[in-house]
Amino acid sequence: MDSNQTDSIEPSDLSLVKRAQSGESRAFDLLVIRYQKRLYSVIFQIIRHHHDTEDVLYQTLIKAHDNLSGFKGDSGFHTWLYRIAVNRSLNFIRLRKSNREMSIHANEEGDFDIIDEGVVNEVELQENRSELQNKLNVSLSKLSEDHRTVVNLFDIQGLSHAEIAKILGCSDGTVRSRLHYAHKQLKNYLFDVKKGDRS
Amino acid sequence: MSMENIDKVQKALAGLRDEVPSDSYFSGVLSEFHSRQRNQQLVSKSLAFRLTESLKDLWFFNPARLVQASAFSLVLLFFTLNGLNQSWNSNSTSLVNWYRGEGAQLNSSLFPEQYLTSNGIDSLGAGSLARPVELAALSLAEIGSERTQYVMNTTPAAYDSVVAF
Repeated sequence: MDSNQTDSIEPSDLSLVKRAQSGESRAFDLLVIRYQKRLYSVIFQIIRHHHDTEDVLYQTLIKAHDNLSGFKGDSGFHTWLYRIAVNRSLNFIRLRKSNREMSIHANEEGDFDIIDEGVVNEVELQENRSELQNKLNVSLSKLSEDHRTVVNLFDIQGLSHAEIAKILGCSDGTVRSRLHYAHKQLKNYLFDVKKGDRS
Repeated sequence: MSMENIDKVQKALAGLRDEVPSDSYFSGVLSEFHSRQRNQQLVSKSLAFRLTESLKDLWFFNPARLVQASAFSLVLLFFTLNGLNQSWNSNSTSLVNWYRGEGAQLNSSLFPEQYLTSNGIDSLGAGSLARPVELAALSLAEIGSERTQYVMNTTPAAYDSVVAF
Protein backbone atom coordinates (compact mmCIF):
# COMPACT_ATOMS: atom_id res chain seq x y z
CA MET A 1 0.00 0.00 0.00
CA ASP A 2 2.78 2.38 1.02
CA SER A 3 4.83 1.49 -2.01
CA ASN A 4 1.83 2.18 -4.26
CA GLN A 5 1.38 5.56 -2.66
CA THR A 6 5.08 6.29 -3.09
CA ASP A 7 4.84 5.20 -6.73
CA SER A 8 1.94 7.55 -7.38
CA ILE A 9 3.87 10.48 -5.88
CA GLU A 10 7.35 9.78 -7.13
CA PRO A 11 8.12 6.29 -8.38
CA SER A 12 11.34 4.72 -7.14
CA ASP A 13 14.22 3.98 -9.47
CA LEU A 14 13.58 0.26 -9.23
CA SER A 15 9.90 0.51 -10.13
CA LEU A 16 10.73 2.75 -13.09
CA VAL A 17 13.42 0.34 -14.20
CA LYS A 18 10.99 -2.59 -14.01
CA ARG A 19 8.41 -0.66 -16.01
CA ALA A 20 11.04 0.29 -18.57
CA GLN A 21 12.23 -3.31 -18.74
CA SER A 22 8.68 -4.40 -19.49
CA GLY A 23 8.63 -2.04 -22.47
CA GLU A 24 7.21 1.20 -21.08
CA SER A 25 9.37 3.82 -22.76
CA ARG A 26 7.91 6.64 -20.65
CA ALA A 27 9.43 5.04 -17.55
CA PHE A 28 12.92 5.28 -19.00
CA ASP A 29 12.25 8.89 -19.98
CA LEU A 30 11.47 9.64 -16.34
CA LEU A 31 14.77 8.07 -15.34
CA VAL A 32 16.55 10.22 -17.92
CA ILE A 33 14.91 13.37 -16.55
CA ARG A 34 15.81 12.34 -13.01
CA TYR A 35 19.49 11.68 -13.68
CA GLN A 36 20.41 13.93 -16.59
CA LYS A 37 21.93 16.73 -14.48
CA ARG A 38 23.86 14.43 -12.19
CA LEU A 39 25.14 12.42 -15.14
CA TYR A 40 26.18 15.59 -16.90
CA SER A 41 28.09 16.71 -13.82
CA VAL A 42 29.86 13.34 -13.41
CA ILE A 43 30.88 13.30 -17.05
CA PHE A 44 31.83 16.96 -17.22
CA GLN A 45 34.13 16.69 -14.19
CA ILE A 46 36.06 13.99 -16.04
CA ILE A 47 36.01 15.39 -19.58
CA ARG A 48 35.98 19.16 -18.86
CA HIS A 49 34.48 20.05 -22.20
CA HIS A 50 30.85 20.90 -22.87
CA HIS A 51 30.34 19.45 -26.36
CA ASP A 52 32.22 16.26 -25.57
CA THR A 53 30.30 15.93 -22.31
CA GLU A 54 27.08 16.20 -24.28
CA ASP A 55 28.16 13.42 -26.66
CA VAL A 56 29.22 11.12 -23.84
CA LEU A 57 25.99 11.88 -21.97
CA TYR A 58 23.88 10.68 -24.91
CA GLN A 59 26.15 7.68 -25.43
CA THR A 60 25.63 6.82 -21.76
CA LEU A 61 21.86 7.14 -21.99
CA ILE A 62 21.65 5.05 -25.17
CA LYS A 63 23.94 2.42 -23.69
CA ALA A 64 21.87 2.33 -20.49
CA HIS A 65 18.66 2.00 -22.48
CA ASP A 66 20.04 -0.79 -24.66
CA ASN A 67 21.43 -2.72 -21.69
CA LEU A 68 18.58 -2.11 -19.29
CA SER A 69 17.46 -5.73 -19.54
CA GLY A 70 20.85 -6.66 -18.06
CA PHE A 71 20.26 -4.61 -14.91
CA LYS A 72 19.40 -7.10 -12.16
CA GLY A 73 19.07 -4.69 -9.28
CA ASP A 74 22.07 -6.03 -7.36
CA SER A 75 23.25 -2.45 -6.92
CA GLY A 76 21.39 0.84 -7.06
CA PHE A 77 20.29 2.05 -10.47
CA HIS A 78 22.25 5.27 -10.07
CA THR A 79 25.41 3.25 -9.29
CA TRP A 80 24.86 1.22 -12.44
CA LEU A 81 24.20 4.36 -14.48
CA TYR A 82 27.24 6.19 -13.06
CA ARG A 83 29.38 3.19 -13.85
CA ILE A 84 28.41 3.40 -17.53
CA ALA A 85 29.00 7.17 -17.51
CA VAL A 86 32.42 6.91 -15.82
CA ASN A 87 33.58 4.11 -18.11
CA ARG A 88 32.42 6.00 -21.20
CA SER A 89 34.10 9.19 -19.99
CA LEU A 90 37.39 7.49 -19.17
CA ASN A 91 37.36 5.73 -22.54
CA PHE A 92 36.71 9.06 -24.20
CA ILE A 93 39.61 10.68 -22.32
CA ARG A 94 41.96 7.90 -23.35
CA LEU A 95 40.85 8.15 -26.95
CA ARG A 96 41.26 11.92 -26.90
CA LYS A 97 44.76 11.54 -25.47
CA SER A 98 45.82 9.11 -28.17
CA ASN A 99 44.26 11.32 -30.86
CA ARG A 100 46.05 14.34 -29.43
CA GLU A 101 49.34 12.49 -29.47
CA MET A 102 48.70 11.62 -33.09
CA SER A 103 47.78 15.26 -33.81
CA ILE A 104 50.94 16.50 -32.15
CA HIS A 105 52.95 14.03 -34.18
CA ALA A 106 51.18 15.19 -37.35
CA ASN A 107 51.69 18.81 -36.38
CA GLU A 108 55.41 18.25 -35.96
CA GLU A 109 55.40 17.18 -39.57
CA GLY A 110 53.53 20.39 -40.46
CA ASP A 111 50.30 18.74 -41.55
CA PHE A 112 47.77 20.75 -39.52
CA ASP A 113 47.39 22.85 -36.37
CA ILE A 114 45.96 21.68 -33.09
CA ILE A 115 43.04 23.61 -31.65
CA ASP A 116 42.61 22.48 -28.08
CA GLU A 117 38.93 23.23 -27.61
CA GLY A 118 39.02 21.82 -24.10
CA VAL A 119 41.42 24.52 -22.98
CA VAL A 120 39.37 27.26 -24.65
CA ASN A 121 36.23 25.93 -23.04
CA GLU A 122 37.96 25.77 -19.68
CA VAL A 123 39.02 29.41 -19.93
CA GLU A 124 35.45 30.49 -20.69
CA LEU A 125 34.06 28.54 -17.77
CA GLN A 126 36.59 29.97 -15.33
CA GLU A 127 35.04 33.40 -15.64
CA ASN A 128 31.93 32.21 -13.82
CA ARG A 129 33.69 30.45 -10.97
CA SER A 130 34.96 31.63 -7.64
CA GLU A 131 38.70 32.05 -7.21
CA LEU A 132 38.92 29.00 -4.99
CA GLN A 133 37.00 26.89 -7.48
CA ASN A 134 39.35 27.97 -10.23
CA LYS A 135 42.33 26.99 -8.09
CA LEU A 136 40.62 23.72 -7.31
CA ASN A 137 40.10 23.02 -10.97
CA VAL A 138 43.74 23.70 -11.70
CA SER A 139 44.72 21.40 -8.84
CA LEU A 140 42.29 18.70 -9.94
CA SER A 141 43.68 18.78 -13.45
CA LYS A 142 47.09 17.90 -12.01
CA LEU A 143 45.75 14.69 -10.48
CA SER A 144 45.81 11.40 -12.37
CA GLU A 145 42.57 10.21 -13.98
CA ASP A 146 41.99 7.59 -11.29
CA HIS A 147 42.48 10.03 -8.42
CA ARG A 148 40.44 12.76 -10.08
CA THR A 149 37.59 10.33 -10.68
CA VAL A 150 37.54 9.30 -7.02
CA VAL A 151 37.48 12.94 -5.89
CA ASN A 152 34.76 13.64 -8.44
CA LEU A 153 32.54 10.83 -7.19
CA PHE A 154 33.21 11.31 -3.46
CA ASP A 155 33.67 15.04 -2.90
CA ILE A 156 31.73 16.48 -5.81
CA GLN A 157 28.93 13.96 -6.37
CA GLY A 158 28.72 12.88 -2.74
CA LEU A 159 28.75 9.11 -3.27
CA SER A 160 29.85 6.66 -0.59
CA HIS A 161 33.07 4.62 -0.68
CA ALA A 162 31.09 1.45 -1.34
CA GLU A 163 29.21 3.01 -4.24
CA ILE A 164 32.43 4.32 -5.77
CA ALA A 165 34.01 0.89 -5.38
CA LYS A 166 31.11 -0.64 -7.33
CA ILE A 167 31.27 2.04 -10.01
CA LEU A 168 35.00 1.69 -10.52
CA GLY A 169 35.05 -2.06 -10.04
CA CYS A 170 37.69 -1.97 -7.32
CA SER A 171 37.78 -2.61 -3.58
CA ASP A 172 36.61 -0.26 -0.89
CA GLY A 173 40.19 -0.05 0.39
CA THR A 174 41.46 1.03 -3.01
CA VAL A 175 38.92 3.83 -3.11
CA ARG A 176 39.92 5.03 0.36
CA SER A 177 43.59 4.84 -0.51
CA ARG A 178 43.14 6.79 -3.75
CA LEU A 179 41.00 9.34 -2.00
CA HIS A 180 43.55 9.81 0.77
CA TYR A 181 46.33 10.31 -1.75
CA ALA A 182 44.21 12.64 -3.91
CA HIS A 183 43.28 14.81 -0.90
CA LYS A 184 46.91 15.01 0.11
CA GLN A 185 47.92 16.03 -3.39
CA LEU A 186 45.13 18.59 -3.60
CA LYS A 187 46.22 20.18 -0.35
CA ASN A 188 49.77 20.38 -1.61
CA TYR A 189 48.71 21.93 -4.90
CA LEU A 190 46.38 24.41 -3.24
CA PHE A 191 49.05 25.33 -0.71
CA ASP A 192 51.55 25.88 -3.49
CA VAL A 193 49.06 28.09 -5.31
CA LYS A 194 48.57 30.16 -2.19
CA LYS A 195 52.30 30.46 -1.70
CA GLY A 196 52.58 31.64 -5.30
CA ASP A 197 49.84 34.19 -4.72
CA ARG A 198 51.55 35.60 -1.64
CA SER A 199 54.96 35.98 -3.28
CA MET B 1 46.09 24.41 5.98
CA SER B 2 43.61 25.10 8.76
CA MET B 3 40.32 23.29 9.34
CA GLU B 4 38.49 26.36 8.15
CA ASN B 5 40.30 26.20 4.84
CA ILE B 6 39.59 22.46 4.52
CA ASP B 7 35.90 23.20 4.99
CA LYS B 8 36.12 25.87 2.33
CA VAL B 9 37.83 23.43 -0.03
CA GLN B 10 35.21 20.77 0.61
CA LYS B 11 32.42 23.28 -0.01
CA ALA B 12 34.13 24.47 -3.16
CA LEU B 13 34.48 20.88 -4.32
CA ALA B 14 30.81 20.22 -3.65
CA GLY B 15 30.04 23.44 -5.52
CA LEU B 16 31.62 22.00 -8.65
CA ARG B 17 28.60 19.69 -8.84
CA ASP B 18 26.58 22.68 -9.99
CA GLU B 19 28.85 23.30 -12.96
CA VAL B 20 26.12 22.25 -15.33
CA PRO B 21 24.25 24.16 -18.03
CA SER B 22 20.98 25.94 -17.31
CA ASP B 23 17.61 24.21 -16.96
CA SER B 24 16.66 25.22 -20.49
CA TYR B 25 19.51 23.05 -21.77
CA PHE B 26 18.20 20.02 -19.91
CA SER B 27 14.67 20.52 -21.18
CA GLY B 28 15.95 19.47 -24.61
CA VAL B 29 17.99 16.47 -23.48
CA LEU B 30 15.12 13.99 -23.71
CA SER B 31 14.12 14.90 -27.26
CA GLU B 32 17.77 14.90 -28.35
CA PHE B 33 18.22 11.50 -26.71
CA HIS B 34 15.24 10.12 -28.66
CA SER B 35 16.53 11.66 -31.86
CA ARG B 36 20.01 10.17 -31.42
CA GLN B 37 18.50 6.84 -30.45
CA ARG B 38 16.45 6.76 -33.66
CA ASN B 39 19.48 7.73 -35.72
CA GLN B 40 21.54 4.99 -34.15
CA GLN B 41 18.82 2.44 -34.82
CA LEU B 42 18.64 3.56 -38.45
CA VAL B 43 22.40 3.35 -38.79
CA SER B 44 22.52 -0.11 -37.26
CA LYS B 45 19.62 -1.25 -39.45
CA SER B 46 21.22 0.11 -42.60
CA LEU B 47 24.51 -1.44 -41.55
CA ALA B 48 22.81 -4.81 -41.08
CA PHE B 49 21.09 -4.39 -44.45
CA ARG B 50 24.33 -3.50 -46.21
CA LEU B 51 26.08 -6.42 -44.55
CA THR B 52 23.33 -8.81 -45.67
CA GLU B 53 23.44 -7.43 -49.22
CA SER B 54 27.19 -7.75 -49.43
CA LEU B 55 27.06 -11.28 -48.05
CA LYS B 56 24.55 -12.22 -50.73
CA ASP B 57 27.32 -11.75 -53.29
CA LEU B 58 29.20 -14.57 -51.64
CA TRP B 59 27.78 -17.86 -52.89
CA PHE B 60 27.90 -19.56 -49.52
CA PHE B 61 25.66 -16.85 -48.00
CA ASN B 62 23.22 -16.84 -50.94
CA PRO B 63 20.49 -19.47 -50.42
CA ALA B 64 19.73 -19.81 -54.16
CA ARG B 65 23.37 -20.25 -55.04
CA LEU B 66 23.83 -22.58 -52.13
CA VAL B 67 20.99 -24.82 -53.43
CA GLN B 68 22.49 -24.77 -56.92
CA ALA B 69 25.91 -25.68 -55.60
CA SER B 70 24.43 -28.47 -53.46
CA ALA B 71 22.46 -29.88 -56.41
CA PHE B 72 25.54 -29.81 -58.60
CA SER B 73 27.58 -31.52 -55.90
CA LEU B 74 24.92 -34.21 -55.50
CA VAL B 75 24.79 -34.88 -59.25
CA LEU B 76 28.58 -35.06 -59.37
CA LEU B 77 28.61 -37.40 -56.40
CA PHE B 78 25.94 -39.61 -57.99
CA PHE B 79 27.88 -40.01 -61.22
CA THR B 80 31.14 -40.58 -59.40
CA LEU B 81 29.65 -43.28 -57.16
CA ASN B 82 27.80 -44.83 -60.08
CA GLY B 83 30.99 -44.94 -62.13
CA LEU B 84 32.93 -46.46 -59.27
CA ASN B 85 30.21 -49.03 -58.70
CA GLN B 86 30.23 -50.08 -62.35
CA SER B 87 33.97 -50.25 -62.36
CA TRP B 88 34.09 -52.52 -59.32
CA ASN B 89 31.27 -54.72 -60.64
CA SER B 90 33.01 -55.27 -63.95
CA ASN B 91 35.22 -58.37 -64.42
CA SER B 92 38.38 -56.49 -65.00
CA THR B 93 39.86 -53.43 -63.47
CA SER B 94 42.37 -52.70 -66.18
CA LEU B 95 42.71 -53.13 -69.89
CA VAL B 96 45.95 -54.99 -69.52
CA ASN B 97 44.44 -57.56 -67.16
CA TRP B 98 41.40 -57.82 -69.36
CA TYR B 99 43.54 -58.52 -72.40
CA ARG B 100 45.81 -60.97 -70.60
CA GLY B 101 42.87 -62.80 -69.06
CA GLU B 102 44.07 -62.16 -65.52
CA GLY B 103 40.85 -60.55 -64.36
CA ALA B 104 38.37 -62.61 -62.40
CA GLN B 105 35.41 -64.14 -64.24
CA LEU B 106 36.55 -63.01 -67.63
CA ASN B 107 34.34 -63.53 -70.60
CA SER B 108 36.74 -65.41 -72.86
CA SER B 109 34.54 -64.98 -75.91
CA LEU B 110 35.62 -61.38 -75.97
CA PHE B 111 39.32 -62.30 -76.32
CA PRO B 112 40.78 -61.68 -79.76
CA GLU B 113 41.98 -65.25 -79.92
CA GLN B 114 38.50 -66.57 -79.28
CA TYR B 115 37.08 -64.13 -81.79
CA LEU B 116 39.47 -65.42 -84.39
CA THR B 117 38.79 -69.06 -83.57
CA SER B 118 35.04 -68.71 -83.34
CA ASN B 119 34.89 -66.90 -86.65
CA GLY B 120 37.23 -69.35 -88.40
CA ILE B 121 39.79 -66.67 -89.03
CA ASP B 122 42.58 -68.12 -86.86
CA SER B 123 44.15 -70.34 -89.44
CA LEU B 124 47.66 -69.84 -88.16
CA GLY B 125 47.26 -71.43 -84.72
CA ALA B 126 48.49 -70.39 -81.33
CA GLY B 127 52.14 -71.32 -82.00
CA SER B 128 52.49 -69.39 -85.22
CA LEU B 129 54.98 -66.56 -85.38
CA ALA B 130 52.48 -64.52 -87.36
CA ARG B 131 49.92 -64.67 -84.56
CA PRO B 132 50.78 -61.24 -83.12
CA VAL B 133 50.16 -59.77 -86.53
CA GLU B 134 46.74 -61.36 -86.54
CA LEU B 135 46.04 -59.93 -83.12
CA ALA B 136 47.23 -56.53 -84.12
CA ALA B 137 45.05 -56.55 -87.19
CA LEU B 138 42.11 -57.61 -85.14
CA SER B 139 42.85 -54.86 -82.66
CA LEU B 140 42.89 -52.24 -85.34
CA ALA B 141 39.81 -53.50 -87.08
CA GLU B 142 37.53 -54.74 -84.35
CA ILE B 143 38.51 -53.69 -80.92
CA GLY B 144 39.63 -50.09 -81.05
CA SER B 145 42.41 -47.72 -80.48
CA GLU B 146 43.13 -48.50 -76.86
CA ARG B 147 43.96 -52.08 -77.48
CA THR B 148 45.83 -51.04 -80.61
CA GLN B 149 47.95 -48.89 -78.38
CA TYR B 150 48.52 -51.89 -76.15
CA VAL B 151 49.57 -54.01 -79.11
CA MET B 152 51.78 -51.23 -80.35
CA ASN B 153 53.49 -51.00 -76.98
CA THR B 154 53.88 -54.73 -76.37
CA THR B 155 54.64 -56.01 -79.89
CA PRO B 156 55.81 -53.05 -81.98
CA ALA B 157 57.12 -55.30 -84.75
CA ALA B 158 53.71 -56.86 -85.26
CA TYR B 159 52.05 -53.46 -85.25
CA ASP B 160 54.47 -52.18 -87.88
CA SER B 161 53.70 -55.20 -90.07
CA VAL B 162 49.98 -54.55 -89.90
CA VAL B 163 50.39 -50.88 -90.70
CA ALA B 164 52.66 -51.77 -93.63
CA PHE B 165 50.11 -54.33 -94.84
